[in-house]
Amino acid sequence: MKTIITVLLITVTTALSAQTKYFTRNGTVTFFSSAPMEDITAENYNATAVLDTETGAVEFSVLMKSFNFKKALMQEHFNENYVESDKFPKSTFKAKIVNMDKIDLTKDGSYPAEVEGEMTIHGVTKSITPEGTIVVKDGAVNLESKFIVKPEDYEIEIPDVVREKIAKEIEVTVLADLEPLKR
Amino acid sequence: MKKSILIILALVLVAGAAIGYYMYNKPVETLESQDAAAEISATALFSEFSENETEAMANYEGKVLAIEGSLIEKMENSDGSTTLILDGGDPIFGVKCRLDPSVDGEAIPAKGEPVRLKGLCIGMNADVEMNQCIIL
Repeated sequence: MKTIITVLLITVTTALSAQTKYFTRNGTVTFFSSAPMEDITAENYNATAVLDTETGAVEFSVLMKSFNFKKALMQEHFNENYVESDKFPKSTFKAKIVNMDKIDLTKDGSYPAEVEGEMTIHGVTKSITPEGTIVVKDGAVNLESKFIVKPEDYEIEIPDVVREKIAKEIEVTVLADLEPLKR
Repeated sequence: MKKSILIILALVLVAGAAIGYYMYNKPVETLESQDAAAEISATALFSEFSENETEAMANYEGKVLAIEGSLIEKMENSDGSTTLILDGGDPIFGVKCRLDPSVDGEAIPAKGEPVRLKGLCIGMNADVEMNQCIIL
């Protein structure tokens, strides 16, 4: 009897200490602004993301200066005038996947994820609830989400001169191919 | 006389508009023609950032650096570009270098090999980050 309990305990502990943290350091965050005068895209391929599958806690962070634009002038205006990258170098999203218990990471499939969290851009923090998708395939966990960010919510001032070139609602797309955190 | 002034004025306007258009649409330049402001090893850069981020930001952020280190990870990004992780002396984090999309894949050394590159230091986000990197 004692041995059975010991074996059982060992099995349970091993299961509990099994991999619960997933990680990437080359997640993709892109944003797209569609305005009458111009469409603007900026891409960041080096986002860091961590997902704790036990608690559903998920955290994204990016350096604003790793957003790449096609036009040098736009990149400069973005960093210097709008998001003020020197003062606020990082943007973060600290959230929780509230329906984590319905997502079976041991089974391949595509699961809707309800996300609730705090987004910090330009030093301003807002609560947002974007919807996402978790795709499980061969042990890899992919996170995808698309949502709207309004520059004015984060006290990002867009001067009237360029108002026709920058949308009031920016579409943000997030893609993260997460792998079990090693070491 | 009046006509020639008008023609000159028109030419100046056209030239001005052309320059404006060119400046507005100018693509982000590669770092090919820029000299590195400093030369440092990946381990030294990482330890300076982990010891005092504020000071390291003041010293290196926004500067083109030539760095050297051991390549510990090679990642393909969703746009097909490559990001390299150079050993920073920490078990998990290091110096994360996104290569300029113009870099030839053949020029990238194998994992474990030493690598020397030039890139723009943009700060620290767990890893120290470098952008627009070119293999030297």
